[in-house]
Amino acid sequence: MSMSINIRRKKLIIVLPMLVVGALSLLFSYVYSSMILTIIGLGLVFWASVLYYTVSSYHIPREFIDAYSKSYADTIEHLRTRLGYTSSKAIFFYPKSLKGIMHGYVAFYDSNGSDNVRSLLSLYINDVEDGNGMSSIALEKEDTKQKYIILKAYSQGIIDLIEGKIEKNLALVDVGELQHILYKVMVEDLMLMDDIIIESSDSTIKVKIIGKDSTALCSSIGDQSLCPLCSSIALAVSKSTGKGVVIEESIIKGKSVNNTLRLIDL
Amino acid sequence: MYSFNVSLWDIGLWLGVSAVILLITSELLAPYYGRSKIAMDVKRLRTIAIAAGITFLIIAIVRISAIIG
Repeated sequence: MSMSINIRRKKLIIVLPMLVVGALSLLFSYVYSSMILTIIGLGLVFWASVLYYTVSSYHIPREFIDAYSKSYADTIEHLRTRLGYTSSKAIFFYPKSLKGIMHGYVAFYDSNGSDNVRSLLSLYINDVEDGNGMSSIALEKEDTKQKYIILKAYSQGIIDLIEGKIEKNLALVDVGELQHILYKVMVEDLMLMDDIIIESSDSTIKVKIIGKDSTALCSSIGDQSLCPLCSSIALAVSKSTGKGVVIEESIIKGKSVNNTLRLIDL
Repeated sequence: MYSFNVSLWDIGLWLGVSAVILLITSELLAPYYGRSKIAMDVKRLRTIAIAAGITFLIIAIVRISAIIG
């Protein structure tokens, strides 16, 4: 609250003198019938109003977003480590049902068990379709004793935000259109990054995120599957393609982040 | 004796110039022209620019119809 009052005060420090000088110019222009003073007065009043109306009364500093993102990534990392997943990968997926498509999930599995995760996820997707829902979060496959954690995707909120802005379900768009949608929302509307480029091939999708601030956020979080930007893009690709998505590789170079996403048929 | 020494056409002309300046400013503040430290609502700026442009066009139409009529 006090921060928004300070920012409002700063706005008024610039806007009020312009308004006062503009009003005085208009008054003197009326008295002396001066065209120049009228133009000056109109200009100052107009620009003061524009400045007051268009400059945001508050903004969320980047440091806040970076700190929050890093702390929740650390929490999930801690949960993973305590459950015994020191070298685990994350797969983002949506169950293929009317109920399941509303919310995405993320499964952490031992990176050596990538073939088994497909069969396990198929079991769970069927569970959702039967109406049982994904009640268990920590699972163990009977034959191999490999463990998995399945959580509701933490970047689902960003997907909901994107879908709210475009008024369309991402499950109904293809990857080509997804690139335009992500550009419009993340680059133009939300200004989270300077550019996003998506290249798709058979079973991999390369995502390049360009931007100094977005790169700084991604590099502050070690595992890109926990980064809000990278994980939300992976979840969006999963929803669009109808397949599970794993962030196979992530290279941070200069002001860009290059993610290679692997698609897994479920 | 006391009056504003400007005609409607002068104000229309001024609005037209302002609309152009506002549109250029909103484009320069667009993300693909580099980062901006000013927290400005570009959509609102564009709305004001379009409103000013439309007002200028209305004034221009009034003037043209006055000349023709």
